[in-house]
Amino acid sequence: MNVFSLWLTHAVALTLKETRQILRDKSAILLGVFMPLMLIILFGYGLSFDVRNIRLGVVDTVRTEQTERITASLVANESFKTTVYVARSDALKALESFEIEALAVFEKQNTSSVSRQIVVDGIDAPRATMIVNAVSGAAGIAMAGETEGAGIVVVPRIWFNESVISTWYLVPGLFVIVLTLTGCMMTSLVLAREWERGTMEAMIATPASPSAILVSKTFPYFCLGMLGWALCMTAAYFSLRSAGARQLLAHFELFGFVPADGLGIGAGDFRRDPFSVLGFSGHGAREFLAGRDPFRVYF
Amino acid sequence: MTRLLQLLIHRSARFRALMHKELLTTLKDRTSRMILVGPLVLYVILFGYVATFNLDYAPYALLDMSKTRQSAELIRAVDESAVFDRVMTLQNTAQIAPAIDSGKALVVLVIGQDYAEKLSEGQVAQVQVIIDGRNSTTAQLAAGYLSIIAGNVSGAGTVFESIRYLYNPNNLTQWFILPALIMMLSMLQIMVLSALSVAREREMGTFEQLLVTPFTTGELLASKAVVPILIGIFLGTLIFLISVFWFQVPLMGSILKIYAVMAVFVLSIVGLGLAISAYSKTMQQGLLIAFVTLVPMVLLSGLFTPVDNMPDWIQTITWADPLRFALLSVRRIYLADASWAHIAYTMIPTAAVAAVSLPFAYHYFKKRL
Repeated sequence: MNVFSLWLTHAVALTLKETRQILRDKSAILLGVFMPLMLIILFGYGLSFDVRNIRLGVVDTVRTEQTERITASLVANESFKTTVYVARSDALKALESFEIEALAVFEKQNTSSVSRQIVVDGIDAPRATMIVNAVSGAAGIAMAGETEGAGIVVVPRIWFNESVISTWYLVPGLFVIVLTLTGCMMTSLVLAREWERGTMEAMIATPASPSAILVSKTFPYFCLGMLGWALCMTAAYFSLRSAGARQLLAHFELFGFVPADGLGIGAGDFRRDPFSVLGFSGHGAREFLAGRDPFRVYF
Repeated sequence: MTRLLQLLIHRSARFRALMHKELLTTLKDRTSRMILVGPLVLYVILFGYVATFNLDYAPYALLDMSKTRQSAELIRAVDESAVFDRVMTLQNTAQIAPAIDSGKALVVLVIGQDYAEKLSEGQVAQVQVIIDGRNSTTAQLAAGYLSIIAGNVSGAGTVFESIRYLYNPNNLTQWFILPALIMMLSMLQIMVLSALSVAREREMGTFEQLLVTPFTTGELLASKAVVPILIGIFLGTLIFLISVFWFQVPLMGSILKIYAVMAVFVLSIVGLGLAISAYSKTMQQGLLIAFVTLVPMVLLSGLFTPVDNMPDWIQTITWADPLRFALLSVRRIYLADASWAHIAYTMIPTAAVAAVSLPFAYHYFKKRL
């Protein structure tokens, strides 16, 4: 028997042992398979920067043809749940008790001019911006239908993501995050646990080489990660239509998962007591999540 | 009567001893203390400075095919705006694709050949804006800004001449994120601490020793709950102070209301954490389950993306998320000084989670003994 086949025998045997340990403890499977799938579904459907269901109030005390046209278009628009108030004070009260999120006010100023104002609940800052854009946009369209003639119209044309659906921009970045998280979390414990239970000494005493031990620690978790990955891809298949992107992502995953595994194992060996390791890897992974530039996509 | 008093003193003395032991096991190790506080401060600073949805800088490329006085006027207005920075000036349409592809320009402004003619004829002059949609949020913001600039140039103005952001006059993302971090970050630590507490004793074999002491189940569970609660409130206070004094997000509401919300919220989280801990056999299991619970809780809470934007069936799920209502309340107290009645009403779902999870934890704890 030559050296390599001996090494292979050791590696296979140890990998088998590791696989059995994973199968005995369902929580690793929970993290490796269930979690990415759940996140993809949540992200795919749940996390959206696309603004919907705006609770809007309208106060129109001037009642010109123009303001009535705008009011009518806001009431008809499906993005808004519009309530029309008679007095400004009523509407402000509703705004302050968080019943409505934004308020469009048309009032007569001192002379003949009409003041047009949006008052928006600014607590949710990103949503406030989107609401202002949506209300201005809808009102602008209503106005443009009336004033024929001069003006500059900005026509946005968006590349790579025609309909500007934020899911498309979240999902690819998410893949990387999820798999790094799970890879790091799962592997960080495996070495620490061996040290703590004293079984590491037993493993070192066997003729298996350190590299065989390392392979056995990495390979099963890598497979588990890939399984979760495959499920994610299936789930995302219908929402993410970009063939080239998928290929690129697959490659990125291969490169991304191995270092994550390595990071976890490194942490596990560095601090040999499980509590600290959990702290390290948990925070490491979260830091990764926090530090990740959310505005990048691997299309 | 004296006997009852004696019993009470006796009980409280032994509970104090138990508490002492719990605090010691959690805080005795320097590394654990570091892990509790260090990363947390880092996150707050990181989120405070990095997490911004405001568009401060948009590099753009210009393709002016009109080359007239009118187009120059529009270009000047865009160049003068604080947000747009011209990084390239293109000569023909073939150069548009490389400018976007390379990522050098977020936006390409294309002014057509007939721009000046149409304006002078009193028609609508179209200006095309090509946007890098790989980043849909920024793309929408950039398009919005350009429309405003173009509206000002054409003299028509926008429909609404004044926009007032209530409670956050400059519409800063920091003001939105930081109050929420008080709850979110302390939740992470409380959950992990309580999820590991019983599992650690069990794994290290000290759980058996605890069982032979005369402590009742209730006392053991209470001692396991009190330490994460104390640490969680301490951490929450720390973030609160950073937010007020470092980032200077002005506090509009009362501190008392914030702590009341925190108390209800912390109870619900400790209940969840202890239930997980009592259920799981090893620390690994405890942490993994805690992690699998935490991530969706954070995602569905509306920390970054508004709950109102979600589809209805997901909005229904978010009712079970105690973090959602804690965030809503703390933001409304912090920025808008919401009334006690409103807060009490908002916190009902969170209180319901506490009312379910704590007895559940007790039940599991007892069953596992």
